[in-house]
Amino acid sequence: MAHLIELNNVYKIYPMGSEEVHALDGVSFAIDRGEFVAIVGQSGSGKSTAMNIIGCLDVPTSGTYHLGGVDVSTMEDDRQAEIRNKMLGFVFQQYNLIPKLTVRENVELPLLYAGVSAEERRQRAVQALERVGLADKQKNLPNQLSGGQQQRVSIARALAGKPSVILADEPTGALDSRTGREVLDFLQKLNAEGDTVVLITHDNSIARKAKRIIRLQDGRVIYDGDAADPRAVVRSGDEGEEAGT
Amino acid sequence: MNVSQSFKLALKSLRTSKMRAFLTMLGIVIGVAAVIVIISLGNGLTDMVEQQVEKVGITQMYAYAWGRGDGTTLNLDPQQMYDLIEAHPDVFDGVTPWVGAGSGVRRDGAEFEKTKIYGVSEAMYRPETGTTLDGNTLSRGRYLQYVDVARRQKVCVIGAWLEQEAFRGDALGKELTIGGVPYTVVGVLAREREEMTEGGSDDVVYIPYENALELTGSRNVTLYQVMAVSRDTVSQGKALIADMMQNFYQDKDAYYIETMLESVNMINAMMGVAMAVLVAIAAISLLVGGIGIMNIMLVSVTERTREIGIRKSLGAKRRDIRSQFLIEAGTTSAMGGLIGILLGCLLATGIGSVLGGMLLEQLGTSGITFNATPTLGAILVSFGVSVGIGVLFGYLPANKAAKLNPIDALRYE
Repeated sequence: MAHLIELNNVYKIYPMGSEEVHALDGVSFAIDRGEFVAIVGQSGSGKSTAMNIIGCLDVPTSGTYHLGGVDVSTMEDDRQAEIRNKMLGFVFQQYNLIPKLTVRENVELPLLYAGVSAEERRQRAVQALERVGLADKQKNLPNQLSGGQQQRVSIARALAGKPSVILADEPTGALDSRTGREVLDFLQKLNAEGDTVVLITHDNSIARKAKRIIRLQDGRVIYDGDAADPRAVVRSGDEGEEAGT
Repeated sequence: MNVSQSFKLALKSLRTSKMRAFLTMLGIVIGVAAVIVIISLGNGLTDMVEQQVEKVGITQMYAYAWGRGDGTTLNLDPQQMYDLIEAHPDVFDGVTPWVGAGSGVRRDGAEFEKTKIYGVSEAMYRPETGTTLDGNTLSRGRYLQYVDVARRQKVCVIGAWLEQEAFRGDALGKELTIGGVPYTVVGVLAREREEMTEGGSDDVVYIPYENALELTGSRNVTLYQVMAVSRDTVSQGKALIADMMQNFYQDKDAYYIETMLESVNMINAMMGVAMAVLVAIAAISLLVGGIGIMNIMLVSVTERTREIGIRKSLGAKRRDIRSQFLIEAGTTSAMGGLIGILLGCLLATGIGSVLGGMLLEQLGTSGITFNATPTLGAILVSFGVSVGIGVLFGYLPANKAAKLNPIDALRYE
């Protein structure tokens, strides 16, 4: 069976004046169903670009990206929107909940764009909220919840659409270490229950919660393997520097 | 995403910023209200003119036969006019000579110098309908008859004011003096105006036209009042009279034919133009209102860039985002339109009753009303136009939102 996610020699090149910046410089890797992968790298390593491409928010300059066996690397805007809606669940650093919608309405959004009926939307949103333990908060507005709770709502939103991949971009970046840990535990639990989770982070200690680590540096993969392997966290150069984003 | 969802969302975002929403729709409110007021008042005026004309008679024509000036003996005999009218019963309904013989009558030594004297024939009155060609009716007695006119009898029909003032309300069979000659009152006309005045349309005397000619010292009838059978035969009638006159005088400047229908059409056309100009001016306010909506929507799109990014990341397509903002703009202007319609109707009723009162007082004609009520059509069109403006001016901002790149939108702070 084909891999769930398969990047093949992907380049992303941005023109910067007269020069070109290779944000991704020939990246290839594959992720299968049920994996928990952390994509790690410093600021500027290309991990955000990788996340945009995996998340169908951007297309590679060259190379191919197959998601669920379908080549999505050349798709136009609206087709990508459809893929995001059906196959991807995003968890962002800043939660990215819409402030004037209630918790449940936020969770319903992906279903709304999928054209699911109102009744089914409500049921599935409540189910997803139950899964993150926030069913009792469904009528609240996001700003009435704590940061950790808001992040759990955004996880519920990612789950509501029953995606193939949960894509978490620095999900603990805005949380204190205790709630951050809770969120990571929750992602682990989701993975244990069978969901595929891709975590993007700059933080080794967070990356180690995953089963597998893909380390990027200067747009290239410099490590791809078991998270328990000591080599996974050894970086060439600038040891100890923890750059943001 | 379906429309009702977008609609709810639009209402929600209007509710959360009421002041801004109100200011945004203010331009539309003013524009729509102005259009409604103008159309209502215009309709009221048109309706009033229509009533007035209905009263006087839309089928009336005035044929002036001035002749070719001094030094000519070429005078149109009234009989020629009668013959023409009788020859076309399908076109004409009646004709009377109309001779203005100045003013001034006496009664028992008292002088009524403003009383107007007109010479007409018996055809001025139509027994079958009981009305004069002017649309008035008799309150008592009879009108001038064929024998009165043929024998130049010294009889007259007087207006209600004169009866009241000169005869203390009982004139039938009594006499008054015109140019030194006593005339017997055989009929009294119903009052035309609520408030009768000296020299007004109720202060009149009608006598046989040849008697009136004698008074003026002229031998020629220079004005005929002609009735057409209906609105549709007016222009045919005008042409027939013109042909006859042209044949007779061989001079275009010797006669002139005026029809009520043409005058009314001209008044209506002029009012139509005036209204169109006013509505166009009011519509500028709608345009400004539309630009206001566009401006605020552009601000709103910028403010909500992040929200747009979130929605796109969750699978919103371009048309989902576009319709969300379009519906928001449409809802804003539709609400503005509704408020404007309400305001416009209130204003139209208020202004209408004040202005209408003043107008009617000045005209003084009884049985005519002025109602500045907006038509359903005007209301529906205003509402449609305001929604249309919202959607039209909302399109640019909505399209801008729809085209945002999700990555940039998500990063927007």
